Amino acid sequence: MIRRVLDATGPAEARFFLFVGAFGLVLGAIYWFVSYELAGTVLLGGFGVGAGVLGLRLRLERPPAPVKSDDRRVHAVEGAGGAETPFRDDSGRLPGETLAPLAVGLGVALGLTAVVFGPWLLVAGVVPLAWGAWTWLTGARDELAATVADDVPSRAGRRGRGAEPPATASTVSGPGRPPAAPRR
Amino acid sequence: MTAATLEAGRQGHLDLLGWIATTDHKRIGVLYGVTALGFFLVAGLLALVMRAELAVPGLQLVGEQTYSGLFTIHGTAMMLLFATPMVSAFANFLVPLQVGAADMVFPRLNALSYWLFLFGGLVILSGFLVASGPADIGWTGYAPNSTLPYSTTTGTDLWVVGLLLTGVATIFGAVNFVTTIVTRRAPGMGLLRMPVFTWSILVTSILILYAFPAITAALIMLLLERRFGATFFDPTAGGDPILWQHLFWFFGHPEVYIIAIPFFGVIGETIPVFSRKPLFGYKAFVLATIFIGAYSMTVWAHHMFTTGAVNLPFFAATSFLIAVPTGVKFFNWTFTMIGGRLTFPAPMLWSVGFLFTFLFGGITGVMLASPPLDFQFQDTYFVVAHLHNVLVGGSIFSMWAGITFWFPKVTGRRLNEPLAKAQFWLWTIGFVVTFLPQYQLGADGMPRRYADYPADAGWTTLNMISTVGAFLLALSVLVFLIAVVEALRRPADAGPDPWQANSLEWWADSPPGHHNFPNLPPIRSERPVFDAREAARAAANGEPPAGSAVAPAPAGPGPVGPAPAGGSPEAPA
Repeated sequence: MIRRVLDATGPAEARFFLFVGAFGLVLGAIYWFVSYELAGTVLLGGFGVGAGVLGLRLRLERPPAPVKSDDRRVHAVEGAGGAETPFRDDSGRLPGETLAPLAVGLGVALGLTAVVFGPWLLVAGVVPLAWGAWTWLTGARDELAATVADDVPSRAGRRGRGAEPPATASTVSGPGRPPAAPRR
Repeated sequence: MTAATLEAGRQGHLDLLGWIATTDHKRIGVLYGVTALGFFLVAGLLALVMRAELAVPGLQLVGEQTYSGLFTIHGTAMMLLFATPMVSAFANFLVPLQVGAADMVFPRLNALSYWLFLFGGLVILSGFLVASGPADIGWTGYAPNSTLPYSTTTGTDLWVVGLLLTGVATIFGAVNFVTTIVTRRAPGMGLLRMPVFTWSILVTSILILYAFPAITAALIMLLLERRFGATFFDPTAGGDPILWQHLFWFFGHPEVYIIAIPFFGVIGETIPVFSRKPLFGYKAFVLATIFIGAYSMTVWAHHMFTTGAVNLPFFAATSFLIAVPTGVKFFNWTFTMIGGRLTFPAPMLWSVGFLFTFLFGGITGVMLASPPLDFQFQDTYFVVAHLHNVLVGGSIFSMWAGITFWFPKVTGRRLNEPLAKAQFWLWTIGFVVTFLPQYQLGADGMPRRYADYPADAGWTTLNMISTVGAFLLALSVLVFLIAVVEALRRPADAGPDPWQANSLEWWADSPPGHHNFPNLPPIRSERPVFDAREAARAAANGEPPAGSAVAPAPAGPGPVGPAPAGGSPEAPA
């Protein structure tokens, strides 16, 4: 595992976050020994640990890159550059227009303002929040179902067509959800 | 609300319902931008009232309590309802386009971020509507001044709640940006082929993810202390006011970079285009961006030198160090221009203006990083001048550069050039006239956050000059609004790439279609659109492609067109 983490051919994204994490931890340690001040040490340490965990996760989830070719044309034309290939995921669908985020935002804002003006605002906030959350979740669920339904023929199509992006077909409809569009 | 209802609403003249229900990153970007500019106008009006009050000694327009509310909401609105959301506006519109994606990874979350920001901002401003008035604690909200025995206005509670909402919105936005940049880049776009603006948003978003939770926690603690009797900050009840300062500035100083780094990225995009050269030292620029972001997390307590409760050498050293990567960027920008085929349309004027004004703010920042000088200047107008030199000279100059640069991409229309240049000169002169005298006022000992000053202090002339400058700034904004209205009344004829630019957003139509790109050019450098344009030019002239890596551009609606007059579109690097 340590070898994989330190592998210089690993994804640049992982190295980036690991560098940021190491920076936070080293500065946090220096800060502690020059100041013995707790709040700042915890904040710097948290900064380092957070970035480090993210870097580790990216590093360990990604298999080692293939040996990098010197011929940059190959990477460019094929769009697959070994370690240069981003963490790309074309699955999933883009949602259509929906009022769910507005409703959730309004509900949260009203609910939080209840701390100042009293619980009646909390009651007023629950209605849009609940409606928005329901619409949001059902929309996401329907998109997932449509993506899964498309996944099998899409993969088959990709095998037949080489490196083309996934095929797109069906749309999702329902309350507050005009047809969802594929990501590409 | 059904899809049919939404469709019916779309028949309206402005497609209002379509905008309200949108999850399209471009529309959300425009909503962020327009809303942030609205808050900018409000905060600017508050500044004008303050400057009018300070023009001469005595209380003429507002009392001391009202003045406290004015500078509190002015600072809060400029920092957190204008500058930070303006970063989200640029990033929302540009990041998916620059990385070749169809949208953000979490489009609904993106929309929720906007609505939370809007409602949070309105909650903060609603303090003006309550009987006890708006928050009166300064934008830093120092405890124990912000705790209940000392600030009794309901506006302070609304300030806390509003900031909580906008803070969560900003965190959601950062999650979206990081995820989109890491997972949605087009094939061939490795990290070191990303446009510098997208790089700056990646670093900024990481800063947000570490800095904003600190202030969110501090605000929750303050709310618990004010409304539920908890004790965190009030020393008379066993609390520690220094804890607020640590939490606030662990957010507050990175916040300065959160609203500066993206605009460094903007300048990194504009200067190469109008110098007809690649950015000098692309990798050094990226590395400097990373180091500025990392160092910015380690300098927070230079705002707390005079508390006597922090380690002076550590924070002085890190504060001096952060000037090094910032200086590297100045070399990147200036060496890009040296030997270039320079042109000076409005975006380039703003970019050059930024170089001068931000340099002044940076130098005075190094002065304030020195504890002996900081002890002298603490809470004087020198700090006010420095702050505005950095934030206005840095962020807002480059914001105007970005607005004038990408306006054709957003609207399909270029701004009227004479009006845009008039705005630049009015703003630049107004900026210098407003803030330069404030350095001298600070050196003379004039304290900040006071509504009045003695007539015999010798500060009247400089204050009057500063007030005149503030009204010039307001006039400049008026010219900008006229230019926008004038542009929007014209047909959209800018074309996909009016500036002969470099990054992927210029491959899309202006304004881009719903899912951005029908196809993408090959990406084998940080300038894919330039590469495609050169390949097309070479193909048209029957030349072999320039460099072995350049393949013919694919057919499509991209912006490949004739090179600018004068031969090769690019000077030698």
